[in-house]
Amino acid sequence: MPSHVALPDALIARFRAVALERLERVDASWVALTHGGAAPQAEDEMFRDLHTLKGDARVIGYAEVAMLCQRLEDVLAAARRRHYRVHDDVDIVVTMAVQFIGMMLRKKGGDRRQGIDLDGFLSQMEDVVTEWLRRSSEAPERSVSVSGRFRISDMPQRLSPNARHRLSALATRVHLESARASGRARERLREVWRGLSREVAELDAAPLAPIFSRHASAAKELARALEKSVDVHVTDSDVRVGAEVLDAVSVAVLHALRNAVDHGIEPLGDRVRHGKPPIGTISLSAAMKEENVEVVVRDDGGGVDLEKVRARAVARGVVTADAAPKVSDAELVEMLFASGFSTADSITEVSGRGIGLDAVRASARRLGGTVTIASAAGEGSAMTIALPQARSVVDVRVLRVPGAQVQFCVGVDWETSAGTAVAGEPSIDLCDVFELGPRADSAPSSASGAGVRLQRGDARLFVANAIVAESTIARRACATALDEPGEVVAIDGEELLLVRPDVLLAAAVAAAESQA
Amino acid sequence: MSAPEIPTINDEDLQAETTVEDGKFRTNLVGSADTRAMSALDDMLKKLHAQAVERSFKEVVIDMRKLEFMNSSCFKAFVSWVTTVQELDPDRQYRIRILSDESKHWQRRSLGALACFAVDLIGIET
Repeated sequence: MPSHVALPDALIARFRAVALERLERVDASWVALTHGGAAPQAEDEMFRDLHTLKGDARVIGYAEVAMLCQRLEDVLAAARRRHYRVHDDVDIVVTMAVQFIGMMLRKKGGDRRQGIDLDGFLSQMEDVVTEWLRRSSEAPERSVSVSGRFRISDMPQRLSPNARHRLSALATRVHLESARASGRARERLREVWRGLSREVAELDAAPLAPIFSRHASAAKELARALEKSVDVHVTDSDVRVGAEVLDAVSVAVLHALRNAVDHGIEPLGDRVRHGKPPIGTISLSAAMKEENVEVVVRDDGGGVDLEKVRARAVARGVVTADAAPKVSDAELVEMLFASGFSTADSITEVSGRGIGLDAVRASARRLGGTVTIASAAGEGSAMTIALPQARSVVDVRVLRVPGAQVQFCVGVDWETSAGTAVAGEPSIDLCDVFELGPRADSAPSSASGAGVRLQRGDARLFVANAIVAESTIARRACATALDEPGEVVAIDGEELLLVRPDVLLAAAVAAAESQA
Repeated sequence: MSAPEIPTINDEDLQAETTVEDGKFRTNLVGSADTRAMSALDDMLKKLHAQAVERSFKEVVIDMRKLEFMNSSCFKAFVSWVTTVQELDPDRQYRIRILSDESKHWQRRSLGALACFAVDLIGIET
């Protein structure tokens, strides 16, 4: 799975270093805001740092850090509404939360939870904040999640892939139960299956609109801080994406918008001098292109300063001074994605604080996507993020089992061939495995030993009583985990069970061994 | 027997003294620890840690039963200490046993959170 591809160590190390710097600033801002002496920009910086840290942590795969950042954001937002007049217990728990995040960031090796009790800490934090909100004169706002474990609207982001897979597995079981049942029970179970699978699909698909709206507002704020006039136009066409795609898009868009405001849109004087409208424009759009979600962040600024990139490439030893003039514009733009390049020394405070374009591209690649930049001098730049939507379709070969209440298919990575059972070869009957009962009509006799042999590499599994039918594309209705024996897919309106031969093979071998 | 290597704190608001008992340090905290005490507390905990490691102690006891209040800055010093202990090789780590007063609301709240930083190393007793 692309999402399991490990990120480079250097990238993770940089994320940790940048994240720890952010935390220090969050801590200092919190102390200043609650104890006095805060600079005017301290509050904005604190929220921006924490929010960016959370997003970066999600991309890098530090889910625990992202979760605690989210909870901390909620508490800080509640504190802001109370003008940072907080109870001592809240001050302590916020301070500890910052330290806790720092400790998780510093932990090396695989298990960042080892020796610590994150759930316990979250629980303690929640107790303190809930009590504070209850005692506080201002009633807690509904959007603050500290008094409850989950907000429904956040569920797609907070529900882990494992939890979604477990729900899908349960829905699949309901589907199988409906196939086993008869009469009105069958219809009722099918209703339940349809409802469940729809809910699971909804869970896995969150709208981009809220994220776009939030980032657009942040970009406008940033523009004001930089004394630039910028309009941000959002067109999302109601695109909905899976949680992983959502995270990757969020980080990429955040980076692109910051970059556009900070580097792309010119100061007012420069724009007027070049005959451009005084107000810069950034457009943020999303659309489905076949199976891809395509997000484009486009600005009408000055474009990438290629000569600056060239100079930096020489300074960083990427190219020699002699070779630099021959480097093409496209190659120079591509260099922006080199490790550490976009976060190097001369980048400003604003966009230099990001995890870098290399990390944005790495996060997209983990999902099988791409990030590209196109730029025209004086006209602006466009960053395009293309990510495959959750694998909604899959190439399959249909396996017909005459008379079975449910039909089957396998992924095309398994070779299929009609044949007869061979002694000693792992063999299964799909109706038996999925407890679908006796076939209703005269199936090919298992006594004849006819069926389909599935093979992938050295793995072979004989499926009795099955017939290979067409190869086609199936739409996944309710994606289960790869260690589940199957999931429901749809082909032209017919629902079939996509079986996973490797899981079935392991079960068949285990069963044979236990019998022996 | 007192532990002369560990500084005592004898301010108007906070008093802290460390003794050696049965092969372990025992530090009694009395009074109130706020921002003014942070530096002294931080210094004391650093030396306590260094000495505990040097003497290969397996436990340090912190008696907070007479500590009326501790603010976030001082808690930060404790978190820093706990984190330092946790980052030691397991054979050099020592347990931190905190004696608390359950009737003090802030102790119930904050010490519970502190224990989450190192579940295998910190014990909170009432």
